Amino acid sequence: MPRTLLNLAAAFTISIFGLAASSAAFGADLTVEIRNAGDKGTVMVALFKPSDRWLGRASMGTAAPARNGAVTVTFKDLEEGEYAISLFVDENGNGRMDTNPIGIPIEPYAFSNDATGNFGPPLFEKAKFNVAKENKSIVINVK
Amino acid sequence: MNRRSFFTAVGATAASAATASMAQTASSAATRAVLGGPAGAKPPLFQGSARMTPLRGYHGQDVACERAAIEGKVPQELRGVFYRNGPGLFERGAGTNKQRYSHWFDGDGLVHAWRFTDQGVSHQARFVQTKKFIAEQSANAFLAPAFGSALPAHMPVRNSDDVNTANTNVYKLGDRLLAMWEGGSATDLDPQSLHTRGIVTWSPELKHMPFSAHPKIDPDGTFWNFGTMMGKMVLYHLSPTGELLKHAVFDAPTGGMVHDFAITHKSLVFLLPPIGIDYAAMRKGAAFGQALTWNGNDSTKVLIVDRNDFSKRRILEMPAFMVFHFGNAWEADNVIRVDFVQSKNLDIMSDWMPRMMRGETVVPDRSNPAFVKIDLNRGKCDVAMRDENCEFPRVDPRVVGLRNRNVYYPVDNGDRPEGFGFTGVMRIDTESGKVDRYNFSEQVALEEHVVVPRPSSGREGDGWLVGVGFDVAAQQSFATVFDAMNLAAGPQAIIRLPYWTPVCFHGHFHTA
Ligand SMILES: [Fe+2]
Repeated sequence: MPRTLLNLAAAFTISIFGLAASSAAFGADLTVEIRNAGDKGTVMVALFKPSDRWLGRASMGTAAPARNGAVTVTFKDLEEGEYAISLFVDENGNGRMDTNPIGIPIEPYAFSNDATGNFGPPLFEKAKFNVAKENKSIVINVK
Repeated sequence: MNRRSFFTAVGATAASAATASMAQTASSAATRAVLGGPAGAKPPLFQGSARMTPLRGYHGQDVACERAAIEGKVPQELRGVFYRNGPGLFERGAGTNKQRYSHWFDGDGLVHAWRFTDQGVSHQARFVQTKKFIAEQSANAFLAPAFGSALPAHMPVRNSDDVNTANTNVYKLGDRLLAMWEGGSATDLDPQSLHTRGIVTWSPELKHMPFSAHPKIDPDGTFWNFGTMMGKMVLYHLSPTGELLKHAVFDAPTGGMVHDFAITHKSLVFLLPPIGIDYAAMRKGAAFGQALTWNGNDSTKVLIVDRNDFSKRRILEMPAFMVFHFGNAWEADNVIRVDFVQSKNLDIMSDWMPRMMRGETVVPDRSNPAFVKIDLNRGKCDVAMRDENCEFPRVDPRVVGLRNRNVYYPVDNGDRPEGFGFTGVMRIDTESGKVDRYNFSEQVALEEHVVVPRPSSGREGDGWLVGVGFDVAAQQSFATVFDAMNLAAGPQAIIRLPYWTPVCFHGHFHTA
């Protein structure tokens, strides 16, 4: 059963602030171009590996100011393997993905592959992509 | 109720999250099987008679008529716009891919404006350009889960506004014409052009919250509404120009579905029928509306909320009954009186409506005028019922929340012809118990009728009763105008369109 949106919101918070930074040198760089993120607040990006709990604690995270057009963030020195990204736009700068009182997200969010769920986040399987030895670029569209 | 219910609250199943990318062909076949009956049998999706033409729905087209034909005389003082809203589109696709919703509540909102001017009466109807409607119109297929039809999601559903049909009621608040649904936000339309402006967010933290389709409006324009979802209830208090004055969110006393409520000058009054949600059925693919259960051994709960302080709430209990619509409530000497239309259980919605939507001729269960006295000192509720078979109660807007004498309803003369559409209108004088009533022939199918006050008059009932109906023989829709204190005299005017329109649920007349 997919996680609820409330879990999703909580997961984002954990993902961004509970970063376990680690990296072996000389891996590939992953460039993520984020489109349609608006121009309010900060885009909070979390990168998950299959060994992470999906939408729990992410392996890596980064943030960049939201801009109209495209926002680009880079994850450096990634080891080969599968990854998936979840992101949200922290429009009001409180560090959390806000929800309304019944737990529905009210800040924009997106996943790699532009994966979507149905009243909830997509599975890791739908959002995953592969990073090999060479550098890689992906695009994520918010909304 | 757990968080899981959000997945299912507007007809999406949790399971479909994992299967949203399922091949279109496979799921279309599944859908056809659901909508079209057993494979091989292939009955037509709709087999309705001439009387049921308005249930065929439109195909997404807008209509307009600059000057409707008037029989009789429209009173000179009756000026303004009669806005109405209802589900207007039920079918998409072509040939073997054709799909039809199985529930009346699923259709896309079609907003009507009947304009009463010195030049005559015009009519215009436009589909609300919801996110869902725009996507489905361009795909010529249903993409979103629906309230009462088990359809898989073929578009992302992030919140209930992604499946919002804006199809239940319409009211002009300030410069916004609000097209209201039950499970999500109101949609703002331009009151002149009926052009869709977008969903309304009353305050940032209330984005995508449910905003029900039965607001109650004080005579001074103060606007009260509620929403229920996922076991929570939200209350709204808005100014006559549409500013949020206060709101509250709290745990709902009961689960499944709350459609309407009433106000007094001191209280918000809810009668909450014992409706549950069968999550197992939803996991097997049932739509939200199909998974609602009637828990007749439980009570119908009476929730009374202080208008000035939403944290002051009281709950009483009554034996189980079903209610969709309220007429009015008023309060004196610590006794609240509420009138509504009562039915036995959910059969009208769960059984009759899907059969009606296929065009079957089935007479629905009766629904009757009911009057409750809530004695706040004793904590006791007494209910009295009448025999008339009716729905869609309305009162004069000058007495909403205040002591009223009259309640107006469309009514059956006897058995509802072919089970569809009322044939008369009636006014019940709640003090004398007398009925003032007019019966059309069985060749009409009537909708809700509303009271329009005569300008500059403060007297209850001084004005007109205005409503809409369908002329079966002519296959045309029409509006009616009655003297609100003398329905028995028959309509003062019948205003005919050169076409039929889909049936509406509710509307409001905004006087010029
Ligand atoms: Fe209603």
